[in-house]
Amino acid sequence: MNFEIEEIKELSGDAASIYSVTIEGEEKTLLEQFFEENAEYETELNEIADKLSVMGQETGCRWDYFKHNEGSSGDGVAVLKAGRLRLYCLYVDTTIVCFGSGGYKGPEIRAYQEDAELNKKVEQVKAIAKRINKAIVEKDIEIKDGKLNINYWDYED
Amino acid sequence: MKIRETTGVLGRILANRDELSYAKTRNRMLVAAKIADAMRGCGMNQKQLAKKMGKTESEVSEWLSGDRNFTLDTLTEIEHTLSVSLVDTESSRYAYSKKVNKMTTIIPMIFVQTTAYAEESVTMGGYSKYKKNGTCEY
Repeated sequence: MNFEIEEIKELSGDAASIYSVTIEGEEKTLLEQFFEENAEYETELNEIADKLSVMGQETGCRWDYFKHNEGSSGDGVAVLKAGRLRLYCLYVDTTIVCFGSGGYKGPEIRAYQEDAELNKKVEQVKAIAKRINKAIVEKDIEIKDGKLNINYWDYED
Repeated sequence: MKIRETTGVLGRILANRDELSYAKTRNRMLVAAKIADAMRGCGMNQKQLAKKMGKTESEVSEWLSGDRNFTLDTLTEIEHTLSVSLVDTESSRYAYSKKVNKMTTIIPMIFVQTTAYAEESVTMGGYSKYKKNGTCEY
């Protein structure tokens, strides 16, 4: 899966940089797609947008705002909640979070793996996290001054 | 690094933000941050705070998530446990009293929050176990 990392202008601020990714061949970032796909949950989407703005402008992406260990061990995949809506992300630190997608977690579901659609979204975020984590380890991406600096980005895994 | 200006539903939500809803979310998150910082200041983790307050660890976790719409009583309990100010009521003291000369009685917060004032204060009934100097009893 090839993708590009993009910083979200309206959400990033003095406290944190908010990123998402655009899959090759698609126009919208996964974060934008998440909002399109879940437009029926207006209240929850407004809350998520507000949370992202507050984190970007004021509080930073504090650890406690997220539920962690949603992906594979140590891969940094976390989730931001609003009601029953779940938005999955790669949590780098309090200044950098890269958001993927997610969806509605019904009350009958205990774990996201029980919902095929939600599981698919989380697996996608896990794959993105794996690729970005590898690039950070290999210094193709550097974390500096609360930003992700891309030194080299090869589409191929 | 590409910088993206949002479009579609996300773009519309951000452009037409409801300021009152935003303020509610912001306040929940800021209060959560203040509690988390006070916990760390006391060297407490979630488990320890839960035990001390007779709550479950998952309840404390929810407090810190920024999702909790606190009751005033819960905030007061947390204030007492962590010696942190979460509700600003000082400016309201005596505000409607005809018996008290407000000009001389209302004390600036910075002065109220000292042990020296608390010890000498008649209005506060002397030094209370709810310490005003920012230290924890824990």
